Amino acid sequence: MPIRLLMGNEAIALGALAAGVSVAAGYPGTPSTEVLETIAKELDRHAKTGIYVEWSVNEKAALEVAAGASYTGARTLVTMKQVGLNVASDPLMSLAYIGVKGGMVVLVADDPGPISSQTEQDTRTFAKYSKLPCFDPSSPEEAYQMIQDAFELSEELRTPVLFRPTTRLCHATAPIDVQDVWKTVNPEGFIKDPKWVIFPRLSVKAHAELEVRNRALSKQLSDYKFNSVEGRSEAFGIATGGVCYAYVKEALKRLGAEWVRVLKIATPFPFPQPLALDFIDSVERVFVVEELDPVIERELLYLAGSSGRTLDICGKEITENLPASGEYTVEMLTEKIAAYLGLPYEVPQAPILPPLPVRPPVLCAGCPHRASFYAVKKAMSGKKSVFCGDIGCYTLGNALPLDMVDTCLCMGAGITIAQGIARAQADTTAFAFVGDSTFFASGITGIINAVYNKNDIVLIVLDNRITAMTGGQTHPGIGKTLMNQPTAALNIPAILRSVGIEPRVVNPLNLGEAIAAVKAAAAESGVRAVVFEYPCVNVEKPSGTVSVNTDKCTGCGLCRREIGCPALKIGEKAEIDGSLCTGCSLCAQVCPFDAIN
Amino acid sequence: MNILICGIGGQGVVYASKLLANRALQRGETVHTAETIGMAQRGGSVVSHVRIGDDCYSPLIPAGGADIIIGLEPAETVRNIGYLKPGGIVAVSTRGVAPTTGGDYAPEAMLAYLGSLNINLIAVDAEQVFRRDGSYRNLNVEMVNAVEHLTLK
Repeated sequence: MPIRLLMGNEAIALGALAAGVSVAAGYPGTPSTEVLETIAKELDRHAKTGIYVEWSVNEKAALEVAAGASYTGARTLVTMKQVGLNVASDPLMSLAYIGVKGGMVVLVADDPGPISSQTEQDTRTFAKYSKLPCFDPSSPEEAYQMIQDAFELSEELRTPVLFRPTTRLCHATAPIDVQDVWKTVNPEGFIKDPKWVIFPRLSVKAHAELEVRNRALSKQLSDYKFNSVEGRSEAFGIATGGVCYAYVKEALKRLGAEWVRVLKIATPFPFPQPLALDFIDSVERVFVVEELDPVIERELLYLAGSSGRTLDICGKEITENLPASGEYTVEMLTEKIAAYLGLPYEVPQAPILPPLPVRPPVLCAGCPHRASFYAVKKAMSGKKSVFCGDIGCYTLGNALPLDMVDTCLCMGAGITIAQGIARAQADTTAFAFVGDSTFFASGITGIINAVYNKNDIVLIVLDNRITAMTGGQTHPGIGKTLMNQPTAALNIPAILRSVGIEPRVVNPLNLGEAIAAVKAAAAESGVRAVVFEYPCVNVEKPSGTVSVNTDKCTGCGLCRREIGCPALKIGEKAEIDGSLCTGCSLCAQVCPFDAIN
Repeated sequence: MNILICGIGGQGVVYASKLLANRALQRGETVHTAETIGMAQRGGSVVSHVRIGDDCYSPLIPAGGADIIIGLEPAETVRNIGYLKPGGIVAVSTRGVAPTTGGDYAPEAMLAYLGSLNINLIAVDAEQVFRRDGSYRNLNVEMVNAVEHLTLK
């Protein structure tokens, strides 16, 4: 078997393929995106047929596609980031009762920090709420094996199973022994049966069965190989799980304290109670180390309390030894574990640094969103307006100098938030910005709501013909699927027309025309729309750059102050970084001295 | 051997770490990396951790644990200097990149700060790459090559 250097997400994808997955669906979202991309690449590489992978319009659609395929007996995988599970939770909660036939794994990538997410929600807590088994891998190597176990368990129990890596695992790479032989599953086919139709009568029975099953599973999972205990101490225990296990091991190595007894929880739900009880009985005190919710800690407190054990259990919940939120680090844990063990440890002094430039992420040089935001800003200058943003690269329009995102909540929310603001504050023009992928994912329902209820908004569609923030995935407007097949390219202006909105369709890099279109739309009432169409600079690499006429340039710096393009630098005169400039010419249109061409 | 690579989104930090890691794998070594992927890649501060050897658990290098820092930008190198072991090696590109949200800064002050530390400092002139290629795009590969040449022969 070849050893390959794989990112956690690639390992998960290859593990799913080895387990015989034949239908995979998802919606892009950091840190989960590379899983489906890897499946698509591997199918291409092996020229495999009979395996299907898609970018669905959103996570709910993805989960339902996978559920349907799994009803036939096919093994299926769904991928999303943690907030995607909120979108998919409606089908998932019911599917927990209905169950599946072919193994179905729902991969939900959590993002402690958060590093690139709206929330720090913990999918282990969602597992308990939805009553679904959950796997929590601690390394890419383990994830490759564990995803295969997840498929086996899912099929054995006929239930969807959650699989929950976190960012540091998804985007870590490790050398992995990869099986090149993929399991073949021959689905029995869909057998008609009342059990596939959810009704209260069925739910009464299904719920009771779930509770019984999960109780039995708590025992069964105590023998699962990745739920483990190591170390020989009879005094000091540490309970941990996920990537924190790796941090704990590193900290113990640094402290020369590998003798500490460590309980690793690979299945936070159902919690492996017999194993955990044995662990509690083997030590005098336990320090619980886990990011986000105190899932393991609460289970241990409950187990100890309900079984009358007396021992110290500390962590983040009652004793507040560790932060209740945010990402943990080896440094932080080394210090906390040293204190817990009573070992000497000199905390390394953080060096005193000179003042450093702040670098928030920004829109790329030449990004058409910059031009769109600037056009709206100019058109509405001095007028009372609110700019409701949404999720995507264009959330970065909030940064100075554009400062054009007043609200951002969740996928598609800008469109409906704007309607609420306009209803409650009639003297304000409410703008809603939405990208093309978000438009398809969850924008359309909000637009129909606006039309139906005669709400008053200006919709700005920023169509850059790609799902850009997550690295360039296809969507229904592009005319190509994840498997590189040609398909219908849905036309956003035509969709808007079909619900009675006549949009103005403009190239945002034509600044005069763009400003005029926004002004005209703002002057009307009802649901108005401007569709700014221009491809992402990372999709269609433009060639050419602008240059500065140093005779005309006064070095006033207005170009940079107005649009904040990373390719612009102001010294004595304006300078263009030729390796970044795309020649979009927005700066040239802004310059009052006609000094950029 | 722990190597930290830092820079700004778009400079090829992730690519540099993949290059280092794959070469280590080809030499038969165990290697783990951790990358910054996502929003920060749009011009924000980006860091990759490369850990060579089979005695590491965490994908991230602990503070004070890096043998080498490859800094594609002076201020980003300073930002991450806490990762360096006492007396470790720092290869830094001397070309500063100003933040795009305004406020210029003096890369010279960053280089002077690095020079004042008890470290093994190697200054790399990015303009040489620019003069050869007409862009700074290959700076990441050049710096990886230089560091490998110095440390692994």
